[in-house]
Amino acid sequence: MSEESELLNLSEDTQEGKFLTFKINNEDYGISIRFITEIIGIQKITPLPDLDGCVKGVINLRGRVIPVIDVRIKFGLNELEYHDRTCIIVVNIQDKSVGLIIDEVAEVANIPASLIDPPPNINHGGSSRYIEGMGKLENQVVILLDVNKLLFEAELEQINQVG
Amino acid sequence: MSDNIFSFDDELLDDFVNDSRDLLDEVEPTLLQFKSLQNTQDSDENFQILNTVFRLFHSLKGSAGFLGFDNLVNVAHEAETLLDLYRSSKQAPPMDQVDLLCLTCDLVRQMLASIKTDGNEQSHEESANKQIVQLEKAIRITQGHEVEETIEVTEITIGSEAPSQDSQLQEDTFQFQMEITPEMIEVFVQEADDTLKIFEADILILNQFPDSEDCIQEAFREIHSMKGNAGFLGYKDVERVSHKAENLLEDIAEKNKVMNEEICEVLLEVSDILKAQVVLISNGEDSKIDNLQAILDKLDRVSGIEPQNSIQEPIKEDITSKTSIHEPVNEDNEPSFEKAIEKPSSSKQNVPAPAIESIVEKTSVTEKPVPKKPKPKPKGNTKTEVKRQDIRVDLAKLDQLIDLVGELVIAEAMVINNPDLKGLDLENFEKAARHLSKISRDLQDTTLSIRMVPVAATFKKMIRLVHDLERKSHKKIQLLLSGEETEIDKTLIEQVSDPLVHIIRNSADHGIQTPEERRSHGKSETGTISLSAKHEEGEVWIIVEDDGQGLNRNKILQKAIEKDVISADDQLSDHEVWQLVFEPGFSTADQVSDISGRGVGMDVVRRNIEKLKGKIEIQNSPGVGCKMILKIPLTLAIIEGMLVEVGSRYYTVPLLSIRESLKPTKDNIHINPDGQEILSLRDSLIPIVRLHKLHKLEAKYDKLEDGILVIVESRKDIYALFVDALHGQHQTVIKPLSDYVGDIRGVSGCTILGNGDISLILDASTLIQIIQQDFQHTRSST
Repeated sequence: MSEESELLNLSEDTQEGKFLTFKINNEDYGISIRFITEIIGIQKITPLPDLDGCVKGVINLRGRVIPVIDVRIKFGLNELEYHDRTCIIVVNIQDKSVGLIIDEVAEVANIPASLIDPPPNINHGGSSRYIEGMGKLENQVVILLDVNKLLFEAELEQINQVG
Repeated sequence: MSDNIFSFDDELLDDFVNDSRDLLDEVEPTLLQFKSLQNTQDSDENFQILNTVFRLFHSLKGSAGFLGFDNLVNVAHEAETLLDLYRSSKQAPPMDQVDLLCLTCDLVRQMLASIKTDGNEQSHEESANKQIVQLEKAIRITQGHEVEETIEVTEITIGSEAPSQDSQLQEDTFQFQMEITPEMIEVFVQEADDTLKIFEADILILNQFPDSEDCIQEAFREIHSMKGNAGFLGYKDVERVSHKAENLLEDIAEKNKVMNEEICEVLLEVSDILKAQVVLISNGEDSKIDNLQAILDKLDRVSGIEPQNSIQEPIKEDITSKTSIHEPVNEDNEPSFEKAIEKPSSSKQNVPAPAIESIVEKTSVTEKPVPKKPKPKPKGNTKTEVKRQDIRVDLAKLDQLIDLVGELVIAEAMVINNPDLKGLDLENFEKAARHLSKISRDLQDTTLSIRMVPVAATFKKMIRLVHDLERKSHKKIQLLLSGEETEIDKTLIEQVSDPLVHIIRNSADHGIQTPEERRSHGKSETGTISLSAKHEEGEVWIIVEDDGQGLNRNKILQKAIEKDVISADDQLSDHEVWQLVFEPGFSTADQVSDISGRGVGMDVVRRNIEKLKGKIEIQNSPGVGCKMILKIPLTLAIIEGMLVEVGSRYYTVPLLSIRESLKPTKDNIHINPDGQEILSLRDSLIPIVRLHKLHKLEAKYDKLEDGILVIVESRKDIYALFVDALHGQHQTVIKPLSDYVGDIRGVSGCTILGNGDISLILDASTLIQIIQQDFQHTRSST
């Protein structure tokens, strides 16, 4: 987990343009490392009753109880059995820690703003509304996710309904 | 008062404001005890209360003086003077003066608020002056003066010291009006005895270490109180000697004079003479100092004052007896107490020689850096003061500590139950591990209890509220408190305070009837609001109960229809009707009074309680009263829980909601036509709930007789939870489920088990709701 400590040591400035890339369903995705607190292997998840959908349950992160979301389900993909490469990316946003379950972590990539295209303007519904932009690397395209939207768009409504 | 010489950092101000607020919180309820003592002659009790209140204002004055908040000092000083009069006479002040003192507390609070935000209390100067005028008036009335309303008030506001000194001198002339009881003399003797002991000790120290400022200050204070008390009881000679000694000490304190052996000798002589007088007085004889002039002259001589100065006294008395009491009497000559109290604290910073310090510590106790030692410290009551020993800690730090301890406990469990150790015979390791477990459990308990505070402080605030409401509404209301020791998380209790205020206001305004109405209903004229707290079902219940008229179902319905909240033909259960009360803007009051009626209060109550994930329950009996139960979860509290296993999952069921658990037999299980399994236990029939079905789990057992039934009770509902196995009781830390997922029905939180697994805590009351809904659902669909 050297990556993790490396991430934490980076200051705000150097975090600019850096994205953690990971694979879901063989597609490359990226999240700005600004939001990421750590990356952990898959853990024992305690499911929560009465909650359907992508929130798989809660995990114990060194005494803190945080919910985990299966991004595959969030994207409407079929669920996969978790294996030893499955990772949980812990993000902290709006003072809430949430774990994102993804297929496997790739690397920390430098994607300057000049190489980021706006999201394709084809389909605004579905999962593409979570897309912040398309990062173009030499031989691959990385779909950059808007963590805020990913985590809070639907959930905000849900929370508001509960409250 | 001098200007702010020191530049005070915010921390000091904060401390001052916080301390003062604490003091006010403490004193207000005490002040209101007078209400109940109005008609009693229990002078001891009065005296104790007076002392407490007096001490508050005194400490307030001292600290404010130190920080240079003149307005605050002046107000506190007047209040103190007023209280001192009652203290000496051991009478409870009449209600209007209690009110006045309450208002004074309010003003002080406002000033503190300004100090907190602006760093000074200048904006309240006007109201401070007004309050001072009021207090002055009260003082005059108390002294038996006919009040001349037209007395000019402006000039008295700043030189507030003068009137107080006046009052003491004045008592000379008015002593014949005051009845001096043997008890008063007894108290005086006790106090004087202690006072003189300290005084003498101080002088002796000064003899060796003439520079000890603390001793000078203390001696000064002691002799000052001696003068006051003696003057009040009419021991003129004692008073005169004390007065002279006081002046002398003040000069020394102000550095106009240097302490020397000669002065010490004279002061010791004073002490001896006074002691002899006290003995005389205690034997019931009149106090008369034979060689009065001799000692007075001696004092004058060491003070460097021409003997003729002594003529001043009679003149002064002359002036004052003409009721022109606001003439600033010879201010320079009068010892100014504020100055005195300001010094000890500042001198603390200069750190006197350690040797002196230790001696001082023995004879007197000034623990806090803020000047505390009240001038006429009530030595008469020998009860030792309860010293508060607490420190303020940043809540975030506390939270961090608690989290760390939680992690430690888990880490410890992971080490002790490490799979690598399985099958090894490790006798010594296990011994050590047990020891470690014990320590870490203690540590956990302690850290958790740090955050918990008794509800007492919040409850006590309500005493003042009820008092005010009583006055405003012209009703008779008594407030009963119980369960004040119930502990609740500090952050929670702060949020409960507001709702409580609203509920109590409503009770007082709408619930409790006027004395006439109450009489016609056969109730006692005095309405009762009882406020209690207890732990129940893993929650804290705060219960407000009044014996008023209760909620009026029809009136609420009528209003609700009027306001279009419901339609006329809605059939509502009682529960639903009561919920209407919490609608914003809903009020059954025909008129908006200054207490309530705008329909805001109950809305606030509901919002605040919901924010805490709490619940409100209303139990109403028309004509008899209304009971509101605020059920507040203990977010961070420990609960006793039973660990149960269902499938591969571990759940925690709060022990408070478990009635019993049993292994059923075929004979006592029945199935009704709906397919609902029912347990017949003794005489009752209890529905069975299969937890694994509810949570869609694979259970180990399908047959009820293989598993265990846990009988769970929530309010009136009772049901049997079918689980695979029980794993014993545990004290567990409730962790809230993440905000991100919001509320989950049937689960109140979770806890982390020894092996690091998360166990959900089942919430008995919401669980039953799910079951009932499911049941209705299946019934309606079939």
